[in-house]
Order: sequence, then structure tokens, then C-alpha cells
Amino acid sequence: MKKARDSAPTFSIKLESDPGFQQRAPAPVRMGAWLASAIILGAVFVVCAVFYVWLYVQQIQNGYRLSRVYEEGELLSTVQRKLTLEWSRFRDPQRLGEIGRNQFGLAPPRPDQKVVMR
Amino acid sequence: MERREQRKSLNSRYRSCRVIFHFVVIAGLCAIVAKAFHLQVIKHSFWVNRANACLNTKFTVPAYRGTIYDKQGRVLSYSVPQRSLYGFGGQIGDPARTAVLLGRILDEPAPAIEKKLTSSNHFVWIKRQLTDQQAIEIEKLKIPGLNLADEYKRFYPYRQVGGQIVGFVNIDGVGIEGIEKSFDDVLQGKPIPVCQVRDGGRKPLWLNASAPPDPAESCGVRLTLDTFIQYIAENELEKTVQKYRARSAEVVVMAAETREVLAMASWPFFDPNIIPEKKDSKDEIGRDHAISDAFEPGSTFKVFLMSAALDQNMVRINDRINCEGGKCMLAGHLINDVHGHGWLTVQEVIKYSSNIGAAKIALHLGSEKYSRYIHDFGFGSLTGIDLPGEFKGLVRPQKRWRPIDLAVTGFGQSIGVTPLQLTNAIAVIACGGEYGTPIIAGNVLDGQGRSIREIQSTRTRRVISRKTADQVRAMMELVTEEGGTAAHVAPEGYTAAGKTGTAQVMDKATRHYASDKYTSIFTGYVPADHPKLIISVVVHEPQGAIYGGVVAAPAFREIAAKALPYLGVMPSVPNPAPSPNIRAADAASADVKRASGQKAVVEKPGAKLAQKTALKKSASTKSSGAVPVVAKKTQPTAKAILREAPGKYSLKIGEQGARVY
Repeated sequence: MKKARDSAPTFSIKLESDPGFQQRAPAPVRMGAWLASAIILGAVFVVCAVFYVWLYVQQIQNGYRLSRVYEEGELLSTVQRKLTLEWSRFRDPQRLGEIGRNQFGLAPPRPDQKVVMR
Repeated sequence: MERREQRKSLNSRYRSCRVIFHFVVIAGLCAIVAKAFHLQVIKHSFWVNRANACLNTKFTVPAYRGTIYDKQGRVLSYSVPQRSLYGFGGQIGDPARTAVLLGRILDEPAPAIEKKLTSSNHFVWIKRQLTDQQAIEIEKLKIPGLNLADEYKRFYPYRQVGGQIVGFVNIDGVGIEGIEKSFDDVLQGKPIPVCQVRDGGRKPLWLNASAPPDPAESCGVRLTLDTFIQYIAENELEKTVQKYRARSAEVVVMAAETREVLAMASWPFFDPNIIPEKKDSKDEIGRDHAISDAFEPGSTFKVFLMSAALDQNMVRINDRINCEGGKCMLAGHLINDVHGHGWLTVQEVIKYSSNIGAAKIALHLGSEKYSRYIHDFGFGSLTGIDLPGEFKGLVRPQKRWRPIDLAVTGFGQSIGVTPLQLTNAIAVIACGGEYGTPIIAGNVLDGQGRSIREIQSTRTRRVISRKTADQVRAMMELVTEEGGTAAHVAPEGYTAAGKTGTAQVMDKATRHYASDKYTSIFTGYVPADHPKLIISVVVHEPQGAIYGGVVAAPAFREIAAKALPYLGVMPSVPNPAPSPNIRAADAASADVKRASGQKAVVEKPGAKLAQKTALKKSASTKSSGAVPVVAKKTQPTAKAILREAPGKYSLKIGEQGARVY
């Protein structure tokens, strides 16, 4: 190529003054540029792909986590309902009356034991 | 030359092989692409659905059956998850051994369980609504073919208190009796179906954008029932039944102004947590006899007769009626009074409960007018309360009344009423003459307990004028005074008004009135001047005593005595002197005077000692039976208060005279 350039006839037009003329980069440079852009693009693609896969895996993991949390919530809701029931049972007036009579010896006040405060 | 030709033929062969190879490869690729196109484009929906069927599953977010509360917000009925055990018959390897294991946990005979496990049905319930402990132990067994499903069980934490009103549900959660049945469409939980993804190991995962819905509760109901008053009523009813060995009894407690049913009990009681097996279709499980059974109201019906007669101006307050000394032939039948009387005023007919007086008034009133008032008071028709199984009572059509029917209906025989009808009719008199529907449910609530609908009593008609109502109320007060048939029915510190009743009971076998069976009734309201509570007590077939004033009236008094202070109703009658055992504030002490702004009197030395000595003396005299002296202080009676100068208790401002606010 160098030989061909050297043996080529010279023209009156100077290459440097023609703005339209762009000299092509040498082939290795061009190859290198292609390679670099291919590597960069490839890397970007790989990163995106990995990120996509990571997101998907996270979605699946969160799906499992959410489902576990939901089951725990359901279990706690069940426990809360059972405790509410137990609390209501403790407020049974018959049960409280029996405890008052048997355990504490309480009895309803007699009429003469009542004092009205107005 | 030959070599060139050989080479040419080899080349052409090679070229044709290459072409064929290319063709095959391209054809293969085309086939693959075509198949892929067929699968991904043409059969796309088919394969997507198949994939979804493998991945997606449905589960239901529980919506619990609504809670039933009492007036104060106490929980009367509540649903809780309880797991149930089911099996797939063909998948159980060793049914006999499995049945033995399950029988030990479920406390059931193994052969019965084995029969279920070996049944030809693919799906079979083995036991529903297990306890938590049973479910945990069965889960540990890990027997293939056995699975646990989530169901919901209804619990009633207050047991038999209000059991007949609240009712119960069947195993599928459908209301069968009481409020559970009448509000079943409101209380019924509607589970929400939700889609979820499962992986290959059947583990669930949530991939939807929105969060899964929370378990919710369906709409609830707040009753007008007050559990404390219900408990008091049931307690007193049980004491009465045990004391008089009665067959059954009912009590209804109603708020006078609002017509809210605060308590309604019938003995024997019913615990909705324990549902006995129905051996006979006639078995009445959980039936509320206060609304479903009629009885003859006896002398309590005289107040309604009197209301009708006064409202129609057929009689006046001061008219006198000859009660024939207690025996009289009327319409061809002998009518007796418990105690013989001569001439009685209209008021005294009620006070002394004269059957002859009542029969004569009824005959004078006439069947047409009397029948109209009976229906206007609500007898012979449903009250409209939100409970199932209500009976409208037994009122014979007026056109079929004979003269004797008119006469005996005057004192409450030959007519059937329910305890609720009787109470509601007394409410008409107590509240100025207007009829209103009784209510048992006050509000419908949303899942968070907020009211979304309020239920109120409706005043439908005026039955008697206010003047008539006041006149009859005055007569009912006489019943509870000295000489009346229920002289000691008023609770301490309060006034009461009411009417006793002792009705004969029809023997179903002989179709005549039995000589040894009676219904004892007392119905009335407290306090007499401003009615707050209307209470009816009905005791069926008591032994040892039969009169309403003896059997039913004490229960009325005890219920009123405990319910009125609970409701914050102040006593209207001044309290009697507190017992000497209770230390009373000494008005002469310096602390009291300082608090009331008066100058403290300088105590004499030894004054406190003298007081202590006096107290000791009173304690010793009390224990010896002598009347104590120290705390004896006569309290002014109600009449004495009224007789004193009216200005004494009014607020005086300045010196220009009293102005009462």
C-alpha cells in the first residue's frame, strides 16, 4: 500500500486543503475500534442480561418471601382471634360470679349496705 | 484426460452432496422454525393455559362469619379457624394401621375410621373441626392421603347466657336458630378467591403486583341484649324454678322508652356450644319459649280489659261493681274469686284482682270493642321482633266468642299470649298508650365494628289515650301497695307497678283445666313514676305455691333491684338508715363542717371517747338482740316530704323568693 501510494501520480489539489476528503483510518485501527465497541456492547449486553436475570431471581425470591409472610400473617390473625375468644370467655358473668362467690367470698350487697351518694 | 474427467466427476459428486447437505440442513432448520412457529404462535394459547394450570393455583382468603355483640360490645358469638381432616381413600397405603393411629388421636373407634378410609369415594371427611392439638398431632404423622383443610368453627364464649337468643349454626356455618338464623345473610362470610403461583415443589409464591388481601370479617350485629341483665334474669329464674320445682319459666326485660329487649330468658337454658343430637324431629333444640310458646295470662289481662273499658268510657274510676261475695253465675258458668269481696271500685277490682268484677266489666264492654283492643295491644299477631319461630298467640275470632268466652277473657283465660307479647302490651300502658315494635338487634356493623345500619322501634299506633294510660298505671301502683296482691314487689328504694296473675292450665289429655297445674305470672314496670324497665316473669306449674304474687313477684323484685342500679337509675324513695355496722360521717365533726364552709365547733375533750363508747354499746346491744340506739334516726317518708313546705328543697336565689330550675 505504501508502494502504491508512493508510485501514485501527484495531483495539483492538495489533500490537506480539501475539507471533504477524509482519510480512512488504517485497517488495524478500524479493526481495533470494531473489536472494542463489540466488547463494550457485549459487556453491556451481558451486564443487562445478568441484571435481568438477577431481577427475575429477586422477584421469585420476593414471591416466596411474600407468600411466607402472608402465611405468618394469617397464623397471627388466627392466634389473635383465638385470644379474643379467650378474653371474652374470661368475661363470662357466670364464671366471674362463681369466682367471686367461691374464691373471694363475695355476695350481692344487702339493701342496708347500700349508700346512695347524690 | 481421464484424471481430469475423474476430477470433474468427483467435483460434481461433491457439489451435489454439498447441495443435498445444504438442502437437508436448511430443510431441517426450516422444520425447526416451522415447529417453533406452530408452538409459539399458532398453539400459543393452548400451551400458555397448560403452563398456567400447572403453575397457578387458587386459594380463598378467609372471610369470617360476622361477630354478634351485646349492647355493651361484649362478644357473644365468634368464628375461629379450626382445621378439618379429610382423606383420599385410594391413596392410603395401610388403612387399618392408619385407622388405629387416628382413633387414638381423635378418640373415636378405629373400625369406624377404617370404614371411611376404605370407602369407594375419592374424597371423604374423617373428622371436621378438630382441636388445635389434634391437628398438630395428625400433621406430625405425615400419612400420604390424609390432608387438613381450613374451616371455621363458631364459639359462644358466654355459654348459656343469651343462648336461645343468639342461636347456633350447623357444621357448615349456616344459621339454624336465633339471631344466627334471622341475620344469616348479613353474618355469612364471603371468602375471596385469589390466584397464586406454585413451583414444582408445590411451594407457593406471590408474583402479583398488588398485595394479597387480608383475612376479613363479614358484617356483624350488635344486639340490644345486655349480658349482665341477662345473667341476672337467668340467675333469678333458675332460683325460682328450683325453689318451686317448676316445669319451666320465662322472663322478659324490656327498656320502656326504646322497646329494646335487654334480657329474654327461658328455663331450661341452652348452651349453643353443646348441640345435642336430634333424636326426634320434634326435638326443640335451642327454642326460645319466650316468643314461641303461648300461655293463658290469667289476671294480668285485667289491666288490658280495664284500659279498654276506661278508654271507651264504659266505666269510670269511681264506679262500683258488685263482686257477689266471691261466687257468681255468669253466662251459665260459676266464676269464683280467690277472696270474696262485696262492692269494689274499679280500681279495687285491679288491686284485689277480682275475677267477677272483671267478667262483669267485660260483658258490659262487649265482645266487639274488647276484641279490637285485644288486637290493638298486639295479642293474636306477631310482634315483629327479629327472631325466628315467633308464635302469634291464640286469640279466638271475635265472631266465635260465646258470652262465657267474653267473660273469662276478661280475667285472662281462654286466650293464649307469649311472654314477649305480654311485656310489649304492658309497655303500651307504661309509656302513654302507644304501641311499638320490640327490637332485639340494635345495629348492623361492618367488619371493623362501625355501625352501618341502625334498627329502631317503630311506633305504629295509639292504642289508648294518655289519660287512660295514666289511670291504669295508677291502678297498677295500687297492686304493689299494702293490701295489693303484690305488696312487697317494689325493690328497696324504688317504686313499682304491676299485676299478678295465676292462671289455670289446660290438661291436653282431658281438655279441661287441671286442678293442680297453674301458671304464676307477674308483669310490671319500675320505677312507677318514670318507667325504665318492663319486666314479665312467667313460671309454669310451680309446686308448693301457685300465686303470681308469691312465686313470680320475688323474681321480678330481685331482677329490678340489680338491674336498676346497673343502669344508673337513682332510687326515688329515700334510703333507710344504714346499719350501725356501717360507719356514717359525723355531721358534727370538724372536717365535715370545714368542707361545708361552716365554722368548726371546738370539740369538748372526751367527746370522741364518748362517741366511741356509744358505738361500742350499740354493737354489744345489737349482738344481744336489743335495738341499737346510736344510729337510730327516723328518715322522712315520701309523703312527709311532700307535706313539708314546698320551698324547703327548692333553689333560692337572693331574697326575692324561690325559683325552681
